[in-house]
Amino acid sequence: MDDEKLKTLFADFSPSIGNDETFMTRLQRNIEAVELIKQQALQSQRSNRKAVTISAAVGFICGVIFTLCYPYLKEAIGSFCLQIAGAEAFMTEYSTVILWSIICITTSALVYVAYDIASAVQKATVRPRGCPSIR
Amino acid sequence: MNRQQFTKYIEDNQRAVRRFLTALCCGDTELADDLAQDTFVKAYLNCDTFREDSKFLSWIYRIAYNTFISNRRSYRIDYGLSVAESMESSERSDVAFEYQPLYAALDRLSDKERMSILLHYMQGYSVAEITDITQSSADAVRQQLSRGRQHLKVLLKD
Repeated sequence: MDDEKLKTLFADFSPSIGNDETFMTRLQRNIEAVELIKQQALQSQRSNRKAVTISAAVGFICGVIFTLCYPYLKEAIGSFCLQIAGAEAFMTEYSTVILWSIICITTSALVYVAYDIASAVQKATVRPRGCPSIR
Repeated sequence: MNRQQFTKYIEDNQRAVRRFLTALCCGDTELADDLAQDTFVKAYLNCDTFREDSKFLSWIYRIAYNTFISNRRSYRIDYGLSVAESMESSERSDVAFEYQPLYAALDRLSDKERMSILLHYMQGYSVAEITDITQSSADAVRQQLSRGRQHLKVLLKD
């Protein structure tokens, strides 16, 4: 089959397709769904950013508080170490390490809880248009 | 490109893309329409990346081709000769039966051969334009066209 024959064959070839209006209506619906998803993603990105900012602020405040209270905390840990029978030497030597470990763990936990609460509050208050509330 | 401009482009060109996909799916209009919907939604999602200097329709055909290929990989659908059986109206059945030998012949071609043949003979694209759409080399496209012609020659003789 040469080029010309194929050209003639395909010149008359016009496959039937469905209704244009139905197709365009369906496409508009799909595009609207895409827009809604894009909007939701954008809002979730924004609320996530807010939650991260809040948790960073909580972390900073915790750091400031622990730094200011460090001498008192060290004293408290020191007196606590002396009360433990049999482990005074070990506890006294490692009191600084223990104190920093407690500070790190407490700060991390507070930051995590702050992030969790901030995310939950954002999700509850920010609801995209067209989305019903979940009861 | 905003939504209005995109919708206008699609309204102007959707028939050609749907016809092309129907031919690519060997007459399965429902699947072709599904693929066309996927194609246009993908195009809408990426229309920010569309370069004004390149042809919009070529870009759409490239997305359509990739959508068709990924659909084939996912489902391995046998388009075959059952197409006419699924036709609803008698008019559409007549049209489908009229093109049945051509659909059957196209069905026997490889995806790439069918794509090149349809882009060249049905849509009137040159080899250079087909290389741009299918992201293949010019030699590969020429080879696909040549092989496609050879296969159609044998298949349509029967």
